[in-house]
Amino acid sequence: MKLELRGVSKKYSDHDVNALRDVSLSLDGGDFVAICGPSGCGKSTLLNIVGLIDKPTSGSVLLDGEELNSLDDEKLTALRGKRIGFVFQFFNLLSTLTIEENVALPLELSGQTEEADIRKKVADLLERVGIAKRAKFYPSQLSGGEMQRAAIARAVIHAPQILVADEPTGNLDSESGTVILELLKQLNENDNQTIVMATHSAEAASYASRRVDMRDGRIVVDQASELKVSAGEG
Amino acid sequence: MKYMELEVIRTKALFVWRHEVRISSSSVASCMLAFLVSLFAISPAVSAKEYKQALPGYQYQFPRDHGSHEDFKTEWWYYTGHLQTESNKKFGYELTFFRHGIEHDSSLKTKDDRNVYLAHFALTDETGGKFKYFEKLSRSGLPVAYARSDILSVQNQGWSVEQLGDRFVLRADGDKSGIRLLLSPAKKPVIHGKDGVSQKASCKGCASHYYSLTRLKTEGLVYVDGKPERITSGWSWMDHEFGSNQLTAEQIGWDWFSVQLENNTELMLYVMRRRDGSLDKNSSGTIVGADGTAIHLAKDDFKISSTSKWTSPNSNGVYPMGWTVEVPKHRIKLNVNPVLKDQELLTKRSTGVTYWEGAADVSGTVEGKAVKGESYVEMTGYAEAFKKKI
Amino acid sequence: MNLSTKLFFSFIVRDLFKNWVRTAITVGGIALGVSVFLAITLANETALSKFKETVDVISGKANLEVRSQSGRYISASYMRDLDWLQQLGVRMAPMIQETVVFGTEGQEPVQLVGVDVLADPDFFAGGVGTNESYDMFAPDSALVGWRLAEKYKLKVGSTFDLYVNDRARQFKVAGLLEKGGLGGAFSGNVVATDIENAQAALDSEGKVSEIELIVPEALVEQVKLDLESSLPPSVVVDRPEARGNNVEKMTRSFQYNLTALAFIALIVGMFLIYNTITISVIRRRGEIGTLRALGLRRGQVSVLFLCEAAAFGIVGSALGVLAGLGFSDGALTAIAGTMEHFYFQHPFGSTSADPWTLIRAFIIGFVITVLAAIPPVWESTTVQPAEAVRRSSYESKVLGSALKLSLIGTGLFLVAALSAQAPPIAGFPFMGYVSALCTILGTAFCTPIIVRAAFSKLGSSSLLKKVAGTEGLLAARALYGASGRTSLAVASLMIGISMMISLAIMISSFRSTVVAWVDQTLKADIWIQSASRERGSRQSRLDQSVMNDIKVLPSVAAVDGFVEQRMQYKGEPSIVAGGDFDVLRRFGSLRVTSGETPEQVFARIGDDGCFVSEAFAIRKNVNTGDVIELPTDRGIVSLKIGAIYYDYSSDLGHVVIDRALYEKFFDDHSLTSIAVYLKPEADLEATRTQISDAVAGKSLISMRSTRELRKEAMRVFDRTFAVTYALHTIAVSVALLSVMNALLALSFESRRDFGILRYLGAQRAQIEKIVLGQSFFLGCLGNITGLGVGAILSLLLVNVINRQSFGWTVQLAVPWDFILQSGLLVIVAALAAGYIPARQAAKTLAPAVVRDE
Repeated sequence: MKLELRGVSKKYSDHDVNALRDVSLSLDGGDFVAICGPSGCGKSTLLNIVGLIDKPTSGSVLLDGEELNSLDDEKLTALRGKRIGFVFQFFNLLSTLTIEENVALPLELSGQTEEADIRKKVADLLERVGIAKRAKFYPSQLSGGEMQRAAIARAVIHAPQILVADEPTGNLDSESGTVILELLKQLNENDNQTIVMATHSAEAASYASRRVDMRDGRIVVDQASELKVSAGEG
Repeated sequence: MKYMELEVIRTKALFVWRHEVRISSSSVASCMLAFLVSLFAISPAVSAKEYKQALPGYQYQFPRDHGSHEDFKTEWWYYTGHLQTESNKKFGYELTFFRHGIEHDSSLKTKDDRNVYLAHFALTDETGGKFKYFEKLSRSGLPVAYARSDILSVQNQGWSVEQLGDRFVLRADGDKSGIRLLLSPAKKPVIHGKDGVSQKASCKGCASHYYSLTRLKTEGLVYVDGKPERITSGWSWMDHEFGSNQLTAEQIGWDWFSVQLENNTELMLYVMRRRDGSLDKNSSGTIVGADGTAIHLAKDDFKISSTSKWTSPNSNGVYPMGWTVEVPKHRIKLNVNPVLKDQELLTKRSTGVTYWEGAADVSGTVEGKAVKGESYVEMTGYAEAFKKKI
Repeated sequence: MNLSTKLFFSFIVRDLFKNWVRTAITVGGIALGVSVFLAITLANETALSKFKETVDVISGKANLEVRSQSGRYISASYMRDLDWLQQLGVRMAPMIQETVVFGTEGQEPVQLVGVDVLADPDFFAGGVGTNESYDMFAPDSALVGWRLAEKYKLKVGSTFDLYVNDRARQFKVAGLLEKGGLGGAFSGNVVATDIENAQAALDSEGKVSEIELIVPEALVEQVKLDLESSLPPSVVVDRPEARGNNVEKMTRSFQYNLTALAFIALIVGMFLIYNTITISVIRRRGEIGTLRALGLRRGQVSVLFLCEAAAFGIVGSALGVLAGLGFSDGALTAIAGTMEHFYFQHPFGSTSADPWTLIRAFIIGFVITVLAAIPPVWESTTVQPAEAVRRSSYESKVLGSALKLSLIGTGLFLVAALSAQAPPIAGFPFMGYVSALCTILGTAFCTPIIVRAAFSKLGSSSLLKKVAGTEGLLAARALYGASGRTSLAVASLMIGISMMISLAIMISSFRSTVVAWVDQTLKADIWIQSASRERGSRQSRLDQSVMNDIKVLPSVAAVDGFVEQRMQYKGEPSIVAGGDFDVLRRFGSLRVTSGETPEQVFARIGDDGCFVSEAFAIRKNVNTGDVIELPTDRGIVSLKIGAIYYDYSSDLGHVVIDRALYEKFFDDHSLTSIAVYLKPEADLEATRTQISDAVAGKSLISMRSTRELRKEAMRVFDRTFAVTYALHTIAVSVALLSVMNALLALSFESRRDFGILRYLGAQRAQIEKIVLGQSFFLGCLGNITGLGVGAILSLLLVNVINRQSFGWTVQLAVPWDFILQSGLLVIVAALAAGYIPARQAAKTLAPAVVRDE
């Protein structure tokens, strides 16, 4: 898997400033990238582009060499449904669905119908994130940490190529936060899961294998390019 | 003698009504007046119902002739009288019923003859110096007004005269005023004019059949302000007249006198006034003797002169007031003085004619003997004539 | 501008513009409700006020009138009995009037008014053209109303025909009546003649409709009492206005029922506004919290939202008033036919807009809007300062109170059940309507628990998932999750549908009952009435000689001459009729409630008993065996009710006696209609020709075969219910707007969920499918509850409301095909209503929706 952003800029029609300015970023399979920076630096916009939610205003996005700009909404959505998983700061579990139903949702939305298959996958995954006992519960009955674990389970149920996590610990106490970060790290290490995580916490960033710092829509530090640059220079 | 009253309607009221119709904009009042105008204004010469003319040779038959004569276009029953009540008050009254046949296209069949009925009632409180009058307007086809042909029975919205044996019952009411009278004739009917006709103008048929009951003993009640007073003594005069034709354009009005003298004789006189100020030669009169014999008086047999004038505050008409009546042939000289000046009737709603009809006292001499009496005087054509001048 | 005003504009008005679709729906719903209500009110009021105006014009200053209690006319001779009143300063004038047919070109009903042209001018206030002098006493003279003059270009001297009874009469225009006064009566469709001419034309010499009196006001009551005691009981002495009241009484049931239907549209509109304001409050809880934190007081918050409701109320009601004015002529036309056929004849023209009526409709619309907003406005005041939005805080409350609400609902059902048993109040089924309202509200209150039960089952049904996929399941779950709002939508729809279903059942039951009745009752072969009656002169008669001419025709087996006229029974308008008992017995065309055969019934009753129609029995609360006192021209007669027969031709109620008796009582020898029974071998068409020949030149008749008469009966029926159909269509439209509104709100509320689903890879089409799924479920649940409530309402309508209003027994007949079609239509409509919300929802992909809390 290789995702490449080349000179990507993003301007929202109702904003004066560019949310992203000429950003180039390359992700390889198995990367655990932490995007760091203060609020409004463009983290989320970058995440939306990486997560195929949004299209850049200029520049191009290539997934395994395929240019994505030309794809229509339907194709992009299909691609997203298959290859991307999302974890949010506020969990975003559907309140009217049970935990297991929430987790199964990506499979069902993408048209998988093997009920037993789905159920097994969900059960395994819930076991793995440690909330198997909560399978039949509704989100409102869970603690924040549990909800985020369910959210992670939902994000990876369909084995996405990229897991996009937007401040996954932002709404959790530090203990639960650590558990979540550990879980992400495990996924990265054990399953070679590519993770792109936006965070403003240095502690969270430390779990990543690569750190990208952003200011005002630009990447100011990218450990990977630094390595490359230093390698080039050296 | 009031025959001509309706004829005046033809010649004068037409103008007045037309006028009023315009002035009072488009109220239904004017509509009704306009209807009334039509009664008199339209006389389709060809197809109108053929009414009989009053021609010489008419044979009276009583009591049948007291009733209505539908073959003649116009008819009235006219009662005047002087009453004295138990509280010694004196009253004069006038109660008149008119019938007017309606002309219409005779090819259109209707069940009965159609008539308009009018009535006037006036009461003069001689003691109190008050004069009140009321009027009625009705039509045939409704049970409230009629005049029977077989017998004297005339009705108009509660006012009536009915024959009761050889007597007559009169009834009329106005605002808290009214009369209930029983009239008993003391003399036979007197037929005026010559050969059964009373000529009104020189043209043929310009006449009426006209008779009077000149002395009717009167009993009953008179109401004033809602209070009934028993009549202790009273005498009435009745005129009944019917005919079909018109007044000539030259005749602008008339003066009529009925006089009842204490010596049991009566006198009736009328003069027709012409536009040029002269009197029509058809003016005439009748003297009724104590035995009931009637003597016809021609125009030149009598002389009437007035002594003063009165201007009506209501109509602005100027009326003569106070007369000297002379019949030289019979050595009669009488002074006639109204008991009250304002005895004028403005009958807007019914006939539309303004006239003066009032009780008057009489004093004078007959064949040298002093005599007293009572009279009713009618004067028409003064208010209208006045109007015409302006 | 103070803070509150500023806030109102920035916080409320801007938001209304931003959410213009929902604003438009809400305003539209209120406007529609108000407009229908106003249109019906205006039409009803115009019908009555036109009648009353005419009474006023014609009677002028009259403050008392004498008219018949037993029939159309009284003898003019009563005038003589009133003569003495003149001493009290009383004036009087007689009048005769009837609806006749204006001929020559038009053939339309006009009012013939005969007045005493010499009567006191105070009686007929108004004007006539006076440029011509005319002879009103000429037997063919007539004045014509301005509209006739305009329409037929009549001038003084022109001639025209009036079809009166079974003859034509020629009149000559003597003058034109102007618009003011008499000429304005009957909207100018009037012919005035002298009373004698009118009497002659109406074959009613010596008779009058009314004797009008002008009595000094202080004496009115005294004179009234005196006349009542001195005149025979067949005569009524009353103020002329009372005639208007009579008409009001007569048409009350019809008008009240229409108004009640129109009111339902308003009630549905009330749900709509409740819905909108609720959503507005829920949606903006966070913002309210912020404003509260910034120092806004509770009261100010509620004022803000009340102002929002008021703004809806003002704009919606104002538009509704405008639209109502626009619809009112249509509504009047719709009810005019019915009014003229069943109650009274009067040319209605167009509605006159009494400003007070407009203001009242506006106020009602406004008040209902504000009232409906009170619960959600109350809700808004509970928001704490800086309250973080817990998205299901409102919903959890709703869930919590679902049980409580259903308890209230159950209570309402109890009230409904009890009030259904109650008798009518002043002849109006007030409690029946209370029962209907309680049923509707009870169901509305129970909707949350029904919704919860239904969607909790549905949302976990694996069958649903198989059939409708994850989207279906998600739709069901979302509805369950938002059961508060779902309940509102379902309740709105339920009300609309239940109305539609109940009216459909009622009309179909009615129709099938009438069809059956017509088939059973119309046993004769040919039906004859006067030509003018067919053209709208409802009181027009035939001469009896017509019947005798027909009776002797060789192919005729029997004839039944029927005569009917209006009368007052215990102060209520009713109908007395004379029929040929012998023929009725032999041919059995009266179907009695006891189920006896005609032979049995007539044997029991004899010739001097009477039949009363069911409407008479129910509305006058009398039964077989009772003795009723009937006012006749011969005084009050006592009649024993021999049997009650089914009749759907009038709701005023008939008393039928043998015609010989009728003629004795009323001195009326004319006929309203003639039923001709043919011999078995006779040829229908040939007999028709023979009848035509027999009466040619003598009588103008109209002949109908039984088949034609049936068709006509059903045409009248359908016309009567046309306005009902229109009303319920509108109520359903308002209900559908309500569904659309709820869906918009629901999808707005679900934006976040849709956003999440989009993140999770849901296609736009899938989102649309979810929203449409919601529409579908709402439509289905609305249908089911609506059907249930509709069935109950139809029972109430048929067995309580209509029975008490009109006195008709109606056999229930359920129009399954209609219910099926309309059910499908509602679902299709619900899906259509979901289209806009679905499109909006599918567009949801603002990451902000998901990220913010």
